[in-house]
Amino acid sequence: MAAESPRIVADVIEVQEYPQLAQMYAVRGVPKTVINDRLTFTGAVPEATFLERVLEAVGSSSETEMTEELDAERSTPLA
Amino acid sequence: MPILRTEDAEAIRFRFDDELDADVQLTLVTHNPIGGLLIPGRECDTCQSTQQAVDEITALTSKISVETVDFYREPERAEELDVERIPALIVHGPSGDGVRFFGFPSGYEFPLLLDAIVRASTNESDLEASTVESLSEIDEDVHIKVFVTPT
Repeated sequence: MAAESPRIVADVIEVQEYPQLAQMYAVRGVPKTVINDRLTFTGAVPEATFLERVLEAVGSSSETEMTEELDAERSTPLA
Repeated sequence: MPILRTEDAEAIRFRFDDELDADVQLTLVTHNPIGGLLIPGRECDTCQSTQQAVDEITALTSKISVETVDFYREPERAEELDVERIPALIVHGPSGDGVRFFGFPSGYEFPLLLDAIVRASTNESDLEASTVESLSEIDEDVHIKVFVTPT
């Protein structure tokens, strides 16, 4: 997505090297995705679902709004 | 000792020869202590291995160039790049900063890095046309963070 839009920057963060970030974003399983610090989800999701999340985050005006979904079958718990 | 096994390096060289189109710019933000003298608080456990991985990858093609920025000696450049932690490897896309890797890109991250390089070079993605159209309509900045582990 970052390759397709100049408005999108994507960070891939190795969670074990940055435990403070992991704590800040409450990373308990991977992959965990955080969009604009507003919307989060854990686990791999289909492309259409990922796009929905991005559009949802863009459309959200409240910076405190956060959603959390845990797909246990598509994520790996941190040890 | 090389990070890439000989057979992996050859496979990557073949892929780059086959798939890379335009030149790709990488920026590595790291810390290389002068004379090996480490200042407390500036430790970077994976900076050296990340530097080595980048060196080995870029040796496989002439289409990748690398800007190396020292996080502590060039803080203005690091700030300009919006990099707050190291090691950071930025794969610059045709129209933006594209994808940034924080930490040593090993394990599952490594193929993601190769994919990001190829996409930056070809300006193509595997996304559905409808997704690309939706993304083109986004008129505000989007910052996606994906937390991963090497295994």
